[in-house]
Amino acid sequence: MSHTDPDVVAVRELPPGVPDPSDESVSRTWRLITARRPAPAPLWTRLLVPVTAAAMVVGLAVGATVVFRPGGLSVGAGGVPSDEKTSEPNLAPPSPEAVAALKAMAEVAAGKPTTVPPIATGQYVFVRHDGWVAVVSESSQVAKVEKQDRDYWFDPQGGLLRGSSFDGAPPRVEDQEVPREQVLGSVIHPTPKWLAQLPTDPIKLLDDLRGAMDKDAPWSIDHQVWTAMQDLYMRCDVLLNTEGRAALLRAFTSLRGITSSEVTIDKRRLLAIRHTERGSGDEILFDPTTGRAVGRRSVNVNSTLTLDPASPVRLDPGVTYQATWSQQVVDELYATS
Amino acid sequence: MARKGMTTPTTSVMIEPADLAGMFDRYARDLLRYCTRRVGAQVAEDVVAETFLIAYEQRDRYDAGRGGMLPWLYGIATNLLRRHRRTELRALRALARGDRSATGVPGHDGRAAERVDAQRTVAKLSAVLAKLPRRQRDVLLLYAVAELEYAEIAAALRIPLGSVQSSLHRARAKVRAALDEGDAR
Repeated sequence: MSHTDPDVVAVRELPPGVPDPSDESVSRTWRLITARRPAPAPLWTRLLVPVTAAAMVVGLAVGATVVFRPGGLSVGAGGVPSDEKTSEPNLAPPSPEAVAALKAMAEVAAGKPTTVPPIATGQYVFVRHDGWVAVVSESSQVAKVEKQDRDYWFDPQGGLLRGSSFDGAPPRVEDQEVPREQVLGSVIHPTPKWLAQLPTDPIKLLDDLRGAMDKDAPWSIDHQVWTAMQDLYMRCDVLLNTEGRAALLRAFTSLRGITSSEVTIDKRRLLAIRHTERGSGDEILFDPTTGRAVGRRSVNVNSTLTLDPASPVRLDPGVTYQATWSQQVVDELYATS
Repeated sequence: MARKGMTTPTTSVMIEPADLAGMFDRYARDLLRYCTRRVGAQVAEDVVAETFLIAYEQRDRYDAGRGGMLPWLYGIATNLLRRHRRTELRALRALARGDRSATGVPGHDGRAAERVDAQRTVAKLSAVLAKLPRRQRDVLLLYAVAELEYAEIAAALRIPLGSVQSSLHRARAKVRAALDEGDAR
């Protein structure tokens, strides 16, 4: 018995003449996903735009009609995948180590006055995002590690994606918009002005961040805050002033469910602050010498996978995605310096 | 394996359901192909979108040790397709009546006699599929269209391997009987 037996083939070809899914169909499906996703959601997952859909973007962009938006943040445009809380949120108090590390880093950040570059119309935040992702064969528990290089250009007014380039490919147009339900000047869509006016009282700041989250989402409020911060840092860490950076670090000391560890990536010693929920560890990687966020990692807490020793980089146990980034303000779209 | 002809590579799979775009990139076409065969292109897009959203939302439930990601996604999609059972059966019955327009599929070119034979076979097969118990139809289509192996179907539907084997055996016996009947004409 095999998949090529005549009866099986006959069933496979029923109804006859059905074409393979077109690029347009794939693109429409992705748009349905982005339109239906509840907000907030980790931006980085949306930014890893599917290649097939991305091809659509390029094709349509040539025709001056970009219809694909990778950065859907709209709320309630369709059914929400699961509106039930499928497990308990992580209500554990922050670990003492994480609190101490964050406080120390806040002091470092406060003691290093940073100059936020002035932002003029037409300028963008360019982010070079160097990532590694673990992949595994279907029949194996041994993962290989693949490189994922991403360049992004964000409009600083809202952190909206305006251009991207994957793995060295020519940059392409992106046209992320702020959904009607959301406001410009928020943790989801930060602006230079909003960032400059962050409350310096960490309690007030954390209240504000928590207040922007979806109370009915399946993930806890603090988990949502953390993943929103992953997005925010990735898009506009460079726009944070000294006070705001320190206040955020102090605010995180009251987040439930966080832990910390030291990691070494590319010979850099970094501090990983992790929020764990439902077996998923979401980390922001900080440079402890500046308090700046410089990367992120995803960790499968219950992973039994092992890495292929031939992989070009070694990821820590359970790490399924790791990326570091660098940011700068550039004067035009697709500029890299 | 016959799946080689499909666009999705079978040798490597994103292990991280949190990578929604990565999952989509690898598997969207496979799922669209499967769902389109069952409920037509328009509903298929809706089902596949929902499949990825649910997979992302339930990513903590994904256990790579219990099977690959693709069977897991097929399982979610198959569950969702049950909401569209009427649509699927309506299309199958229309095909069984010889109504090709029911699927929006244009007629094939070719000689009239061959076309009539082919349409008769399609009608017979469609009638058989429409009458199959739900589980048998799910197992058969996961085997034939999705080209999953027994163990993958068992993981997708969360049923014992033996149930997959017996369901598939029964469904295929009916299909073969219909095809043999067509050949005997």
